[in-house]
Amino acid sequence: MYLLMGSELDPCYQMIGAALAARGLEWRIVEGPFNDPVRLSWYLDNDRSVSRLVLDDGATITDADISGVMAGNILWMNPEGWQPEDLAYVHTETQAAILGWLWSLRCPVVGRLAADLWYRPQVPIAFWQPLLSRCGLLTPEVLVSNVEHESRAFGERLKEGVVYAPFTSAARYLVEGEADWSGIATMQSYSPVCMAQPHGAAQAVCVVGERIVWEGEPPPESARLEPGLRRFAKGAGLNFVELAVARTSTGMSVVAVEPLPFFGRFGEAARQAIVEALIEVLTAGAGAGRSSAATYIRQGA
Amino acid sequence: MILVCGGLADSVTELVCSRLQSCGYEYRFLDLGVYPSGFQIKWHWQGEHPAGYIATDDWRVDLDELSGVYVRYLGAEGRAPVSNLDSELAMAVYAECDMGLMTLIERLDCAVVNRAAGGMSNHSKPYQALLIRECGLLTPPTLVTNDPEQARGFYDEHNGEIIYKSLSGVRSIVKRMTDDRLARMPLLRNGPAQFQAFIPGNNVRVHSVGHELFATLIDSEAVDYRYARREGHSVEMQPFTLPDAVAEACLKIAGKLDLLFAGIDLKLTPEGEYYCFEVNPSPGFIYYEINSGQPISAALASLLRNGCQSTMPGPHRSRIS
Repeated sequence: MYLLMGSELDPCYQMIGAALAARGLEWRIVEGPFNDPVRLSWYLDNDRSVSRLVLDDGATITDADISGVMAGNILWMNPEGWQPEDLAYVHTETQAAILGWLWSLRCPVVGRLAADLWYRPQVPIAFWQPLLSRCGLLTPEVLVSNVEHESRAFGERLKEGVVYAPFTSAARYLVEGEADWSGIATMQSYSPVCMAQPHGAAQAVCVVGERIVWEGEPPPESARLEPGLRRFAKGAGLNFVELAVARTSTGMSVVAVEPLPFFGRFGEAARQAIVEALIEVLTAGAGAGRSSAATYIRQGA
Repeated sequence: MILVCGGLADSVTELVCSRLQSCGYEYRFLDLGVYPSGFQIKWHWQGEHPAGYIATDDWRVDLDELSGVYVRYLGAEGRAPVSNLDSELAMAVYAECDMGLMTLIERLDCAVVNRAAGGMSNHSKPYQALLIRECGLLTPPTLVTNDPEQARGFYDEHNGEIIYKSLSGVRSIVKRMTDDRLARMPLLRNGPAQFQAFIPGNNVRVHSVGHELFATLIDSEAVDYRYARREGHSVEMQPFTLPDAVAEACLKIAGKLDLLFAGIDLKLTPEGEYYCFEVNPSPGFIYYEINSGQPISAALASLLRNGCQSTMPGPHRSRIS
């Protein structure tokens, strides 16, 4: 059984479901493992980790029955009827439980992030800089400062101009003229400001397992970039990751990393390729050592 | 040079500063309550690490001069209000400041106590339990469920000797399950909870500081000794020497989580087994230092000065090289 966690309306899941069915493989979409009426019980001790999932139609599966999981788009509980504080607490508890449970599974899981990414998936590109650098991938030059003359000097040094690149947003603002610099100075009185080398139009690319899927025609530098992209995904522990690359004055650079890829950013051809690659990842563990039958969890309860 | 980042009103940060001072180690304080006001900062990437400086009107530190950084981030309540901004914009400013500073501190090429990434495991106790298991420490029988019937079965199986506590990093008081609390089980359908077999014995709190360990044996009748006095129980603490294998496992888990400083919660059973409940990435160690007399803050100061090569003589330390 393959579990796709998220919405039934998710186009990625619909395509994966169809592809699994075409291979004669059983699959189900589950919004979330703890979303009532679905019930999950996970038992853990020194030697054992076993779980039992009761689906909305009463069907029961154990972890040993699960062949693969797509976990990138889990739907959280419906906020209707909850006090905000209670909802926040239950949400936090559910997130903690799902993270642990996903890591207890021995089957292939796509979208299983390590704790630091699970809780902070939207980190700025600067967060990835050391790993990207180790993988031989360029990133735009940046300078972070709340000292006005330092930022201006950086902007003047970059012949092609400079952009304001906030840490907490993917938006980029080209700094043009004195009025913009004055605005930057005002922001610097509240927070250090990240300025970056500008880049051209970004192109999305996915690493899925060992496969690279470009949105549109791969750039001329793709052969040089792809080994680095694979090393990056492996180093980050991500079997499905989206990046954006763009041209800067110093070469083709990575300008964004998205540990939870957005399927809608890709055209039909790329979507097909992504789904095929995801099927490869999900079915790679078929028959591989999974936990024995969940003897602890009482059957039929 | 050592950089301490935190709030003036935080007693742990205050103790670290005071210990650095008494050890004669030079440090600079970055007051997160007012940051960035009064500070000048500039950094850029030099290969895999940031290069640049942090300065005030009185001092300047180049990032490559730093031997160690101690950081305890503050919530919005610990900060000076941002003038001329409404609360929504102020929150956005805090978020931008924090993200920038966190990115910088995470990637510095020196000892950082602690990098935020390692500490994230503490937001999910069952996730941490899986890592703890891999390091050779025992994990209590645990059930995570939103199924009232399974929870009831677990309770019966352990003859009612179970506790429940939060799954996440939200601080909660560990409580024993009782018959009258069973009536609330149907509420589990709203979301999962964590139940554990009650493990009898004495709590042992281990502070790992780089390669050094300071173990404290806690003698208390309370289920959660942190709240013992509130429940009318006493707490006695004394330095404790761990068996080598347990000490090694503690260092292994701290290393696996990339925590140079950690508070590891163990329980020593009457049979001599050690169970591990949690690894705290930002331990409030003062309580243990005062009550057990162990030089935890001095070891921390030494770590910040010398990086992981830090060594300190001391009678109660287990050291694994």
